[in-house]
Amino acid sequence: MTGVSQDRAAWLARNVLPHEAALRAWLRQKYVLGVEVDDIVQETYAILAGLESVAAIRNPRSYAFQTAHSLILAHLRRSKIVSIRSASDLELAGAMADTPTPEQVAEDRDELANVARVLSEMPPKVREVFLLRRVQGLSQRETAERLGISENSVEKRISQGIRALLWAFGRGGKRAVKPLRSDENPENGAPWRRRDKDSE
Amino acid sequence: MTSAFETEADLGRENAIDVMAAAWAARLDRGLSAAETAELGAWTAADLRHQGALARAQAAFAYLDRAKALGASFTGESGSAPEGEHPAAPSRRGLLTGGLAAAAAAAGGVMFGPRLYNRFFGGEPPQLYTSKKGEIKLVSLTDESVLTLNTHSLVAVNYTGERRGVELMDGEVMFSVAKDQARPFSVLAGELEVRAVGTSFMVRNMAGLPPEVLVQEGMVDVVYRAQPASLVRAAANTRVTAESGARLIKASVSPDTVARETAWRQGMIAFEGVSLRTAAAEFSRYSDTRIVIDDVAIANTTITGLFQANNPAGFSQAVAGSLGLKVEMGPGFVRLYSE
Repeated sequence: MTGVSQDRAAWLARNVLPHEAALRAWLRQKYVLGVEVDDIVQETYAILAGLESVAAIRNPRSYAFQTAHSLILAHLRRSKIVSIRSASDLELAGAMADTPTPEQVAEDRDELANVARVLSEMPPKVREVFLLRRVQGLSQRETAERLGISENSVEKRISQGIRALLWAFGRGGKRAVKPLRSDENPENGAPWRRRDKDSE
Repeated sequence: MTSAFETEADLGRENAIDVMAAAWAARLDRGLSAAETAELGAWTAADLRHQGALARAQAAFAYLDRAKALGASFTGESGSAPEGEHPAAPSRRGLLTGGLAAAAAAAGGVMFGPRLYNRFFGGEPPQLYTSKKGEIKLVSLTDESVLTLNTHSLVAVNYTGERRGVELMDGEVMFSVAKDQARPFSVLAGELEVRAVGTSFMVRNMAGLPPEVLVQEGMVDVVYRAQPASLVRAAANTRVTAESGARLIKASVSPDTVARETAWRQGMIAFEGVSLRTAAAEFSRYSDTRIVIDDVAIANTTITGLFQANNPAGFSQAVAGSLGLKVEMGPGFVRLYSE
């Protein structure tokens, strides 16, 4: 397998990425010894990416939660240590995977705001590549010509930007970030430090 | 490639697989050579997580299309003028083509601390300043230069020992630049760069409109960054507009025009011989209360005057008084009509 189709990438972007913060929060609650949240999330995407068709999936959020849930169970079955607590907690998985509440929908919209913030914080060199490639629909080669830079630079900037977005989807979320006014020194606020502490 | 990040585990532990996945997603986006295809096949076959991380990276890149398509509803401008009422604005004011200011203001806070920023992008993170709709904000910088942000604007300030850099991502800003020959001052606005030593000028970079520079005092250089030959030097009372094809158009304007176009610094909007349609669009930049004019003949009527930017109702009443029109006030709108 060498990457997913444009259609599947778009489907994941539309239906799964916005729920990822909620999925991770839920996985952290269900913390199971020896199972990394990052691993479960990546494996969940692998399974969703590998599906023959996603046309029949009515509720992708629920589907993603259920996939993650079954992956945890599979990990538990493989490992020798199964704590009684984690096994009983996992029984509740169904309740979490139901139709999103209005609060959850609001959280997902915060994810959009996070992406906007990531974009606004990207250096202009990286952001302009994203704009030309994704919004104006130029190819990487055309983007390079337009900006008078090498194709290699364009590719590198796209890679940088994707990493920043991945980080935002993985670590972002309203609950974890304290508002910081623009006239305050971000060094003092160091919100990412708090965020990390919160997530553990 | 990943080792540099593993030594900074305390920074929030960027997932090592994600770093690789992002690089592969970028390569896939440009197309792979045969050797790369084989290499990627081996990488994804080695671990289920690799496949998932790659799909997720491709989705993150595709996500920008989604954010773009969300348009006005996403930027939170629920009261902004519907299509057709703002002749200059694009039909949808998406996240990426504009509305960054609203989005960033709504999000609040910063995503990356200085060290994290350095890890992703290298260098120092810029300081962001935003103004909300209807707000005019004065920002004094360390070198005593002053930025005045007009309504709904977003700038990033990045000063180093060698240069003073400001990026105008969205909106309109007046720059009063302190003289410092050793540290050139430059403003990025879209594809344009404006360079100054000690001067005052206004830069506008709004969705759907070509970036524009208006020089009030002193001298500035304006250039398409990718086209050094496009450079033009503009003196006081000059307007430089970016045209497609990397062309810069320079035009002299009267001091009155400069004064009128910078009236917003006093919270005012000045019109001279503009149509009511244009005036209504201008007010929509400052207030969520829309001015609605259904009658084309009325919308085409030209007006002149100085008005409070945050008071579309007061403006409408003044216009109604002098043109013999009626005013209907409703929730979120003011309608101008004749009987």
